Amino acid sequence: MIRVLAAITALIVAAPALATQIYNPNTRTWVDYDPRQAARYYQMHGSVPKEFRRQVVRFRTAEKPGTIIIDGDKHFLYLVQEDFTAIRYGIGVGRDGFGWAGIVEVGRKAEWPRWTPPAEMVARDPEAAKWANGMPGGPENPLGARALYLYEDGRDTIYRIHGTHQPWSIGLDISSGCIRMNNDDVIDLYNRVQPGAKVIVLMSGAALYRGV
Amino acid sequence: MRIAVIAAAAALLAACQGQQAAAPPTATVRATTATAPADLQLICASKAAEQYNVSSEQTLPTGSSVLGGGQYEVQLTLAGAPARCVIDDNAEISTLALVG
Repeated sequence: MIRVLAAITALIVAAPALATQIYNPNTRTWVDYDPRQAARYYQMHGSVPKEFRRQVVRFRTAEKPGTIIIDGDKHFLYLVQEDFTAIRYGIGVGRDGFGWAGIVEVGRKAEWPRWTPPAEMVARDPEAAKWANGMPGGPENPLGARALYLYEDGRDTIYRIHGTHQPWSIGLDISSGCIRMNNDDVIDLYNRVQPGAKVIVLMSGAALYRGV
Repeated sequence: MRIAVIAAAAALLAACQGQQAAAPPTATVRATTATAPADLQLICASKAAEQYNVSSEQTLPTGSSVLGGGQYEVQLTLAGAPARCVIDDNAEISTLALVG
Protein backbone atom coordinates (compact mmCIF):
# COMPACT_ATOMS: atom_id res chain seq x y z
CA MET A 1 0.00 0.00 0.00
CA ILE A 2 2.81 2.38 0.92
CA ARG A 3 4.51 1.53 -2.34
CA VAL A 4 1.29 2.30 -4.25
CA LEU A 5 0.92 5.67 -2.50
CA ALA A 6 4.58 6.45 -3.13
CA ALA A 7 4.14 5.61 -6.80
CA ILE A 8 1.04 7.82 -7.07
CA THR A 9 2.86 10.66 -5.28
CA ALA A 10 5.79 10.32 -7.68
CA LEU A 11 3.41 10.47 -10.61
CA ILE A 12 1.73 13.59 -9.23
CA VAL A 13 5.12 15.27 -8.97
CA ALA A 14 5.92 14.25 -12.54
CA ALA A 15 2.46 15.06 -13.86
CA PRO A 16 2.21 17.43 -16.83
CA ALA A 17 -0.52 19.91 -17.67
CA LEU A 18 -3.52 17.63 -17.23
CA ALA A 19 -5.47 16.58 -20.26
CA THR A 20 -8.56 14.99 -18.72
CA GLN A 21 -11.21 16.38 -16.38
CA ILE A 22 -13.98 14.57 -14.52
CA TYR A 23 -17.36 15.98 -13.52
CA ASN A 24 -18.00 16.15 -9.78
CA PRO A 25 -21.80 15.95 -9.34
CA ASN A 26 -21.55 17.14 -5.74
CA THR A 27 -19.83 20.43 -6.54
CA ARG A 28 -21.18 20.56 -10.13
CA THR A 29 -17.75 21.42 -11.41
CA TRP A 30 -15.17 19.85 -13.69
CA VAL A 31 -12.02 18.90 -11.84
CA ASP A 32 -8.64 17.75 -13.08
CA TYR A 33 -8.43 13.98 -13.41
CA ASP A 34 -5.00 13.48 -11.92
CA PRO A 35 -3.47 10.24 -10.58
CA ARG A 36 -4.92 10.86 -7.13
CA GLN A 37 -8.44 11.46 -8.52
CA ALA A 38 -8.11 8.47 -10.82
CA ALA A 39 -6.99 6.14 -8.04
CA ARG A 40 -9.81 7.36 -5.78
CA TYR A 41 -12.41 6.93 -8.54
CA TYR A 42 -11.22 3.40 -9.25
CA GLN A 43 -11.28 2.51 -5.55
CA MET A 44 -14.86 3.82 -5.16
CA HIS A 45 -16.35 2.40 -8.38
CA GLY A 46 -14.20 -0.62 -9.12
CA SER A 47 -13.73 0.58 -12.68
CA VAL A 48 -12.70 3.57 -14.76
CA PRO A 49 -15.27 6.25 -15.81
CA LYS A 50 -17.83 4.97 -18.32
CA GLU A 51 -16.27 6.79 -21.28
CA PHE A 52 -13.08 4.76 -20.84
CA ARG A 53 -14.86 1.38 -20.78
CA ARG A 54 -14.90 -0.81 -23.89
CA GLN A 55 -17.80 -0.02 -26.24
CA VAL A 56 -18.82 -0.07 -29.89
CA VAL A 57 -19.15 3.40 -31.44
CA ARG A 58 -19.83 4.96 -34.84
CA PHE A 59 -16.59 5.60 -36.72
CA ARG A 60 -16.67 6.95 -40.27
CA THR A 61 -13.45 5.95 -41.99
CA ALA A 62 -11.98 4.48 -45.14
CA GLU A 63 -9.35 2.65 -43.10
CA LYS A 64 -9.58 -1.14 -43.28
CA PRO A 65 -11.23 -3.15 -40.51
CA GLY A 66 -8.46 -4.23 -38.14
CA THR A 67 -6.75 -0.84 -38.26
CA ILE A 68 -5.96 0.70 -34.89
CA ILE A 69 -6.47 4.44 -34.43
CA ILE A 70 -5.28 6.11 -31.26
CA ASP A 71 -6.68 9.47 -30.17
CA GLY A 72 -4.14 10.50 -27.57
CA ASP A 73 -5.94 13.76 -26.78
CA LYS A 74 -9.15 12.03 -25.72
CA HIS A 75 -7.47 8.85 -24.41
CA PHE A 76 -9.29 6.49 -26.77
CA LEU A 77 -8.06 3.61 -28.92
CA TYR A 78 -10.34 2.61 -31.80
CA LEU A 79 -10.23 -0.75 -33.54
CA VAL A 80 -11.95 -0.27 -36.90
CA GLN A 81 -14.79 -2.71 -37.63
CA GLU A 82 -17.13 -3.20 -40.59
CA ASP A 83 -20.07 -0.86 -41.30
CA PHE A 84 -18.50 2.37 -40.07
CA THR A 85 -18.16 1.23 -36.49
CA ALA A 86 -15.22 0.71 -34.16
CA ILE A 87 -14.55 -0.83 -30.78
CA ARG A 88 -13.43 1.98 -28.50
CA TYR A 89 -11.16 1.35 -25.51
CA GLY A 90 -9.84 3.74 -22.85
CA ILE A 91 -6.08 4.21 -22.74
CA GLY A 92 -3.28 5.95 -20.89
CA VAL A 93 -0.72 7.80 -23.01
CA GLY A 94 2.66 9.51 -22.77
CA ARG A 95 3.07 12.29 -20.25
CA ASP A 96 4.35 15.74 -21.20
CA GLY A 97 7.35 15.38 -23.48
CA PHE A 98 6.71 11.69 -24.07
CA GLY A 99 3.71 11.92 -26.40
CA TRP A 100 4.13 11.22 -30.11
CA ALA A 101 2.14 10.89 -33.30
CA GLY A 102 2.73 8.82 -36.40
CA ILE A 103 1.83 5.85 -38.55
CA VAL A 104 3.30 2.51 -37.52
CA GLU A 105 2.22 -1.14 -37.49
CA VAL A 106 1.91 -4.08 -35.14
CA GLY A 107 5.23 -5.91 -35.61
CA ARG A 108 4.63 -8.73 -33.16
CA LYS A 109 2.52 -9.70 -30.17
CA ALA A 110 3.31 -11.36 -26.83
CA GLU A 111 1.39 -12.84 -23.92
CA TRP A 112 2.56 -11.90 -20.40
CA PRO A 113 5.55 -10.11 -21.92
CA ARG A 114 8.90 -9.68 -20.26
CA TRP A 115 9.68 -6.03 -19.51
CA THR A 116 13.15 -4.63 -20.01
CA PRO A 117 13.30 -0.89 -19.31
CA PRO A 118 15.22 1.15 -21.89
CA ALA A 119 18.59 2.53 -20.82
CA GLU A 120 17.31 6.09 -20.42
CA MET A 121 14.54 4.89 -18.10
CA VAL A 122 17.07 2.91 -16.06
CA ALA A 123 19.14 6.07 -15.76
CA ARG A 124 16.30 8.27 -14.51
CA ASP A 125 14.11 5.86 -12.53
CA PRO A 126 15.52 3.84 -9.61
CA GLU A 127 12.44 1.57 -9.68
CA ALA A 128 13.19 0.66 -13.31
CA ALA A 129 16.91 0.28 -12.60
CA LYS A 130 16.16 -2.76 -10.43
CA TRP A 131 14.96 -4.53 -13.57
CA ALA A 132 17.72 -3.42 -15.94
CA ASN A 133 18.21 -7.04 -16.99
CA GLY A 134 14.50 -7.65 -17.49
CA MET A 135 11.44 -8.40 -15.37
CA PRO A 136 9.58 -11.66 -16.05
CA GLY A 137 5.96 -11.45 -17.18
CA GLY A 138 3.29 -11.53 -14.47
CA PRO A 139 0.67 -9.50 -12.63
CA GLU A 140 3.24 -7.04 -11.23
CA ASN A 141 4.90 -6.48 -14.60
CA PRO A 142 4.20 -2.96 -15.97
CA LEU A 143 3.42 -4.38 -19.43
CA GLY A 144 0.49 -6.33 -18.02
CA ALA A 145 -1.13 -9.31 -19.69
CA ARG A 146 -0.38 -8.65 -23.36
CA ALA A 147 1.80 -6.44 -25.54
CA LEU A 148 1.59 -5.39 -29.16
CA TYR A 149 5.02 -4.22 -30.33
CA LEU A 150 4.88 -1.25 -32.69
CA TYR A 151 7.24 -1.29 -35.68
CA GLU A 152 8.06 1.08 -38.49
CA ASP A 153 9.64 -0.23 -41.70
CA GLY A 154 10.35 -3.53 -39.98
CA ARG A 155 12.14 -1.93 -37.03
CA ASP A 156 11.01 -1.84 -33.41
CA THR A 157 9.99 1.70 -32.43
CA ILE A 158 10.40 0.87 -28.69
CA TYR A 159 6.71 1.82 -28.27
CA ARG A 160 4.08 -0.76 -27.37
CA ILE A 161 0.37 -1.09 -26.75
CA HIS A 162 0.27 -3.06 -23.53
CA GLY A 163 -1.67 -3.91 -20.38
CA THR A 164 -0.96 -2.50 -16.95
CA HIS A 165 -0.79 -3.37 -13.27
CA GLN A 166 -2.24 0.10 -12.55
CA PRO A 167 -5.80 -0.17 -13.94
CA TRP A 168 -6.78 3.17 -12.40
CA SER A 169 -4.32 4.97 -14.70
CA ILE A 170 -6.50 4.80 -17.84
CA GLY A 171 -7.40 8.32 -19.01
CA LEU A 172 -4.14 9.86 -17.83
CA ASP A 173 -1.01 11.22 -19.51
CA ILE A 174 1.23 8.97 -17.54
CA SER A 175 3.49 6.72 -19.62
CA SER A 176 6.88 7.09 -21.27
CA GLY A 177 5.25 6.98 -24.69
CA CYS A 178 3.62 3.55 -24.65
CA ILE A 179 -0.14 3.11 -24.94
CA ARG A 180 -1.51 1.37 -21.86
CA MET A 181 -4.84 -0.42 -21.49
CA ASN A 182 -6.59 -2.39 -18.79
CA ASN A 183 -5.62 -6.06 -18.93
CA ASP A 184 -9.12 -7.21 -19.96
CA ASP A 185 -9.11 -4.72 -22.81
CA VAL A 186 -5.61 -5.49 -24.05
CA ILE A 187 -6.45 -9.21 -24.08
CA ASP A 188 -9.57 -8.42 -26.13
CA LEU A 189 -7.54 -6.27 -28.54
CA TYR A 190 -4.75 -8.86 -28.76
CA ASN A 191 -7.25 -11.52 -29.81
CA ARG A 192 -8.68 -9.31 -32.58
CA VAL A 193 -5.50 -7.82 -34.08
CA GLN A 194 -3.02 -9.48 -36.41
CA PRO A 195 0.67 -8.60 -36.91
CA GLY A 196 0.91 -6.13 -39.78
CA ALA A 197 -2.14 -4.16 -38.64
CA LYS A 198 -1.79 -0.43 -39.35
CA VAL A 199 -1.66 1.84 -36.28
CA ILE A 200 -2.34 5.58 -36.61
CA VAL A 201 -1.44 7.66 -33.57
CA LEU A 202 -3.00 11.14 -33.29
CA MET A 203 -1.89 13.59 -30.61
CA SER A 204 -2.13 17.36 -30.95
CA GLY A 205 1.20 19.13 -31.08
CA ALA A 206 3.20 15.99 -30.31
CA ALA A 207 6.50 15.13 -31.96
CA LEU A 208 6.02 13.17 -35.16
CA TYR A 209 7.54 9.75 -35.27
CA ARG A 210 9.96 9.28 -38.17
CA GLY A 211 8.57 8.93 -41.65
CA VAL A 212 5.52 11.18 -41.53
CA MET B 1 -47.63 35.26 7.42
CA ARG B 2 -49.14 34.84 3.99
CA ILE B 3 -46.36 36.96 2.47
CA ALA B 4 -43.72 34.84 4.17
CA VAL B 5 -45.25 31.65 2.79
CA ILE B 6 -45.44 33.08 -0.72
CA ALA B 7 -41.82 34.27 -0.48
CA ALA B 8 -40.67 30.84 0.68
CA ALA B 9 -42.57 29.14 -2.15
CA ALA B 10 -41.07 31.55 -4.67
CA ALA B 11 -37.58 30.90 -3.32
CA LEU B 12 -38.14 27.14 -3.53
CA LEU B 13 -39.41 27.44 -7.10
CA ALA B 14 -36.40 29.56 -8.05
CA ALA B 15 -34.07 27.03 -6.50
CA CYS B 16 -35.73 24.21 -8.47
CA GLN B 17 -35.45 26.18 -11.70
CA GLY B 18 -31.82 26.92 -10.89
CA GLN B 19 -31.15 23.21 -10.52
CA GLN B 20 -32.80 22.52 -13.87
CA ALA B 21 -30.62 25.13 -15.54
CA ALA B 22 -27.52 23.52 -14.09
CA ALA B 23 -28.40 19.98 -15.13
CA PRO B 24 -25.33 17.73 -15.00
CA PRO B 25 -23.64 16.93 -18.32
CA THR B 26 -24.18 13.52 -19.88
CA ALA B 27 -20.42 12.97 -20.11
CA THR B 28 -18.50 12.21 -16.94
CA VAL B 29 -15.08 13.00 -18.40
CA ARG B 30 -13.79 15.45 -20.98
CA ALA B 31 -10.50 16.55 -22.48
CA THR B 32 -9.30 19.95 -21.27
CA THR B 33 -8.75 20.97 -24.87
CA ALA B 34 -11.62 20.27 -27.27
CA THR B 35 -10.47 18.57 -30.47
CA ALA B 36 -12.12 17.18 -33.58
CA PRO B 37 -13.36 13.58 -33.50
CA ALA B 38 -10.65 11.20 -34.69
CA ASP B 39 -12.71 9.89 -37.61
CA LEU B 40 -13.25 13.42 -38.96
CA GLN B 41 -9.54 14.20 -38.63
CA LEU B 42 -8.70 11.13 -40.69
CA ILE B 43 -11.32 11.96 -43.32
CA CYS B 44 -9.51 15.29 -43.79
CA ALA B 45 -6.17 13.48 -44.05
CA SER B 46 -7.50 11.00 -46.58
CA LYS B 47 -8.98 13.72 -48.77
CA ALA B 48 -5.78 15.79 -48.57
CA ALA B 49 -3.61 12.82 -49.60
CA GLU B 50 -5.87 12.28 -52.60
CA GLN B 51 -6.13 15.94 -53.60
CA TYR B 52 -2.39 16.68 -53.35
CA ASN B 53 -1.23 13.25 -54.53
CA VAL B 54 0.74 12.49 -51.38
CA SER B 55 1.11 9.00 -49.91
CA SER B 56 -1.38 8.33 -47.13
CA GLU B 57 1.58 7.00 -45.12
CA GLN B 58 3.01 10.52 -45.12
CA THR B 59 -0.23 12.33 -44.32
CA LEU B 60 -1.25 12.83 -40.72
CA PRO B 61 -3.43 15.17 -38.65
CA THR B 62 -1.20 17.10 -36.25
CA GLY B 63 -3.80 19.08 -34.34
CA SER B 64 -7.42 20.20 -34.37
CA SER B 65 -9.84 22.59 -32.74
CA VAL B 66 -13.56 23.25 -32.47
CA LEU B 67 -14.79 26.21 -34.52
CA GLY B 68 -18.39 26.08 -33.32
CA GLY B 69 -21.58 25.44 -35.26
CA GLY B 70 -20.61 21.79 -35.70
CA GLN B 71 -17.38 22.68 -37.52
CA TYR B 72 -13.80 21.70 -36.79
CA GLU B 73 -10.43 22.86 -38.05
CA VAL B 74 -7.82 20.15 -38.61
CA GLN B 75 -4.12 20.84 -39.15
CA LEU B 76 -2.34 18.32 -41.36
CA THR B 77 1.15 17.49 -42.47
CA LEU B 78 1.50 16.28 -46.07
CA ALA B 79 5.01 14.86 -46.40
CA GLY B 80 6.20 17.75 -44.24
CA ALA B 81 4.03 20.45 -45.85
CA PRO B 82 1.39 21.97 -43.55
CA ALA B 83 -2.24 22.07 -44.65
CA ARG B 84 -5.56 23.15 -43.15
CA CYS B 85 -8.95 21.47 -43.39
CA VAL B 86 -12.37 22.57 -42.15
CA ILE B 87 -14.91 19.77 -41.72
CA ASP B 88 -18.32 19.53 -40.10
CA ASP B 89 -20.19 16.92 -38.08
CA ASN B 90 -21.62 15.47 -41.29
CA ALA B 91 -18.09 14.86 -42.60
CA GLU B 92 -18.49 17.58 -45.24
CA ILE B 93 -15.22 19.35 -46.00
CA SER B 94 -15.65 23.07 -46.71
CA THR B 95 -11.97 24.07 -46.83
CA LEU B 96 -8.82 22.15 -47.72
CA ALA B 97 -5.67 24.07 -48.57
CA LEU B 98 -1.91 24.07 -48.15
CA VAL B 99 -0.69 26.67 -45.67
CA GLY B 100 2.03 29.14 -46.52
